[in-house]
Amino acid sequence: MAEQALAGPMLAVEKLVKHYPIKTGAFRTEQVRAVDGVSFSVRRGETLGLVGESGCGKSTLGRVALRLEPPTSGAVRYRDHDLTRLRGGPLRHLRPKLQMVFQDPLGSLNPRMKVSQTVAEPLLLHRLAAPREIRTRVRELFDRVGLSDELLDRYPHELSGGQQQRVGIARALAPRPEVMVLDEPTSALDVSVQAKLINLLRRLKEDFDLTQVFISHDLSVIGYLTDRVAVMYLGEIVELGPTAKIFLMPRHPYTGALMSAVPGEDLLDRRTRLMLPGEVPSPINPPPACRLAPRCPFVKDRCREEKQVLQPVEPDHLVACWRAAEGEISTEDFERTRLALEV
Amino acid sequence: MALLEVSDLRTSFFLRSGELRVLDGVSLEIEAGEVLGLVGETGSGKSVTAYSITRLLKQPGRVVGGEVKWDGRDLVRLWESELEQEIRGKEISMIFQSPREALNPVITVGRQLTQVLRIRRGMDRREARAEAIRILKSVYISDPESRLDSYPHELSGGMAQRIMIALALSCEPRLLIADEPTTGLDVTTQHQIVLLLRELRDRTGMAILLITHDLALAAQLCDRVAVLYAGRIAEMGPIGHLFRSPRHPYTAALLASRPRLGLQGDILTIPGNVANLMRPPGGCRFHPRCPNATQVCAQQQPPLEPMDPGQRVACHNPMPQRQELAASG
Repeated sequence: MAEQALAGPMLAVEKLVKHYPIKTGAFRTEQVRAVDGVSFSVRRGETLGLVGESGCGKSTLGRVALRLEPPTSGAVRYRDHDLTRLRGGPLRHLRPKLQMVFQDPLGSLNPRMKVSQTVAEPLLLHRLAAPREIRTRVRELFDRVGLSDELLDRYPHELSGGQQQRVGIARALAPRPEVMVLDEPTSALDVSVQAKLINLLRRLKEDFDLTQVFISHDLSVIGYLTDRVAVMYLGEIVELGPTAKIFLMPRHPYTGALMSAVPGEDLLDRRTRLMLPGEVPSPINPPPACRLAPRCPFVKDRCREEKQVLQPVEPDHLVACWRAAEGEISTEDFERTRLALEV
Repeated sequence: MALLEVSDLRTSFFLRSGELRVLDGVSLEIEAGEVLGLVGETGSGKSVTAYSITRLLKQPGRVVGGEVKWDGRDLVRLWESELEQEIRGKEISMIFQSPREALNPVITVGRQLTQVLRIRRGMDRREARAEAIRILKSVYISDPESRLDSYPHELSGGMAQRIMIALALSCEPRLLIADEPTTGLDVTTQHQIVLLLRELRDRTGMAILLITHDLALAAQLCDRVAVLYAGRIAEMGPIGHLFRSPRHPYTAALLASRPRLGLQGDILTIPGNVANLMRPPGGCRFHPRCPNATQVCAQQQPPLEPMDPGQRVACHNPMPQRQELAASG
């Protein structure tokens, strides 16, 4: 590609905050702190995984990072552009380069449009192809995502879940994006359908030279597809590092618990590892200092008093836990059995 | 004698466009205290099996053949009133995927629990309340007294599923049918529910029929597993055998199509699509997608037969038995 060399990251978010006001009483409004001061960057051609449990803010972060929603504060950078400062025409001009694939394939497709029209829409909207070329371009995209030509004139409800998701991917690819955020693209699918889609996504990433943010709660998919992983808990990133390190050498107790709950290489291994008591608290009134403190088995007084920011335990591995950062706890500590059946 | 014995169960859905043979001769048995997993993809018939056993199938579905033996009685032919009064909810309980939808949204958790206890176990108000508190404690809900006054929408997904389990256990069933009990819950909550079910089985000795699409979940909970494909059992046996040395090509393919850390290159996939039940392929229903298929597969339905290292398999050309029982690969 005849692109100028890119010195910085392809996509970066800095101290990103997204709060939603909700009514909690007749005269009271409170803030849901969906994303609360998050920073990360994605290099060109890299796939960053965003993991965490429901309500941790990973989907919100994905949408704000593509500027589909404005942030409450903080910055989003795509190449040299500060997306948070752009509005109207200049922002629209960049839209084709920033695309999203959604979890619910049927819900994200217009039910009254033939699927070929859905894929053609971004081409028409951004005037990326002459009207008489559109059909050819759409056919080509169908071919790239493994959809047969016979499906061009079908409506979304006539397709299977896997086919619908392929249409969603073709639509996102149509304007030749550089950055793609995928929000749980395989979660609604059966194992055998999912496997094919994952292979497709991996191939498309190479073919289209994509930079990806892959959001999923399915850690086996994340382990397979991503280069680096950011772990989110209650609106914050608690750990960020290369995928293998996050999976095999987690440093933050929350990551430790998350990894303990997923099957390892041996599905039949039934050892119980780190379990956190209780459930995730509300993002309206998160704990003041470390947000995991009320559930953390390694908690010390300092955790409840001092806010900890992400800091390196190794150059490429960041963790927001001062006990981990100071080497007081390690992955081995997470291996000890802790039964916490009570909630 | 097995606790539950299902033989040659056939269930069809009668649609305007024809008969959909969703279950085409399913046979399985569950021993007392055993956890049996029924694993399959969408449309394999796993949930329909559960609903056929408890006769909770909705129109246009109907059991058209076979037997469901429970304590010497055939549930397929039992009077509905007998089934309702003596078996369903009492001896066999069910929990579902969306616990919050299964609970009544306008009645407190406490009332839902005590109602069951008063009707089913003939307790008075005070006894029922004490028993409800005891049951909530048994599923490890802290502060059960105040939870009794909660409405379902005030509960998290994990909490709601625990309450569903508590409700299902309130009549001390001998079999719990759990239909995708952790789907939709967070991974750490899923893990808690798995441990809870495991512990309850050990403590009460009830059997569990776990219906799931998730092989990893089955591995964590089940003693034996039956793999369903297009309304027939492809392979059934102790979980260790099935996972370490699968003999049916479909089981092997399902296990291989799991993405994971450190896997190089493409994930192995199964070619083609799930069989169309309106016009299922002849012979073995998996044969159009099977790497081992030969001519006989298209003509003859393979019977479910014993095979080493100790499972039953319906296949003319099974996978070779794996010698090393290493977990790698």
